[in-house]
Amino acid sequence: MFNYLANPDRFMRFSKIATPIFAVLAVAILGYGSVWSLAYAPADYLQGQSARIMFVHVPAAWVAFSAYSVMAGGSLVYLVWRHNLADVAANAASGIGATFTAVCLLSGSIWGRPTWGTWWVWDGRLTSMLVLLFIYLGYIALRSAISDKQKSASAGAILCLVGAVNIPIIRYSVVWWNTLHQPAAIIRKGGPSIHPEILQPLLFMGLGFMLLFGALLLLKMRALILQNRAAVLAHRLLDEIS
Amino acid sequence: MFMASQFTNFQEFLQMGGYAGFVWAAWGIAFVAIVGLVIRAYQHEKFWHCEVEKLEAQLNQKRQAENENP
Repeated sequence: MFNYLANPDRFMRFSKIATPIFAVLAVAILGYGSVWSLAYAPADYLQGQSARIMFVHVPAAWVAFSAYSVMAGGSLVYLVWRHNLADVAANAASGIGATFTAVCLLSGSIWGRPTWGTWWVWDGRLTSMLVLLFIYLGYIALRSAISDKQKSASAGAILCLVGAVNIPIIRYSVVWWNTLHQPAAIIRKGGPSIHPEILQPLLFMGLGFMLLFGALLLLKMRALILQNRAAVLAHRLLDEIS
Repeated sequence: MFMASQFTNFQEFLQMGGYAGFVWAAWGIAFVAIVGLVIRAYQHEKFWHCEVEKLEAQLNQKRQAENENP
């Protein structure tokens, strides 16, 4: 599948069909999931209705991790095999990941005020998520600061792979340090600790966010491939004129 | 999803048990970010699609002119 899509022309044909399918499914699932989460899921017995923030906060964190996984995978493939499409995937995922990391931090901060009595605390999970946002922003700044495409891709890939060390730190921050942030409640030994009536709409919203991420990634990859093609065509046109 | 709404009326739903400012601000930020990302990505793709078509047309025109007047 990956070998088949590694060709930009084949990828463009595939993404032309796949992008609207992902987008329509994402809109339908997020629409249904939003009503379910906001009106039908039960309120938390301790946090009351404020726990409904979880239905955007947690899926945003999942997309932030997924986008970084795509970036790290793409960066590794680019450094090993020098495949341009892998770099396009990494580059496309960066903006999406940065936005969802910011959404996760902001919604978490808003949720923290009524729950913990503070907007922000320098605990392990919050600080490592903030570091993730800075890595995303650093990657975007680095890519736009280097005009040479090959050098920009290589420098970005190295930064991304070095920054990947932060991912296990985020994951285990709630285990390694005594933090205000609650420990893992879904992927944990002994199964999820969340009641099924809250877990189900949360997973549903997570699916909607992931489908949206898929649609956005494909759309941004298409835009970057077209941008590269336009640069090649403009160069060819100039060559033929001169 | 055969279950009852957690709110008895729309006013109660908007008030979110006294947490309206927090819940709607968090959801609003997520909504604005998602809509912004979708619009930007769509415009970016559309812009470069038009640019590629324009450049291809210019290149074809030039080649056609060269073939007609070698």
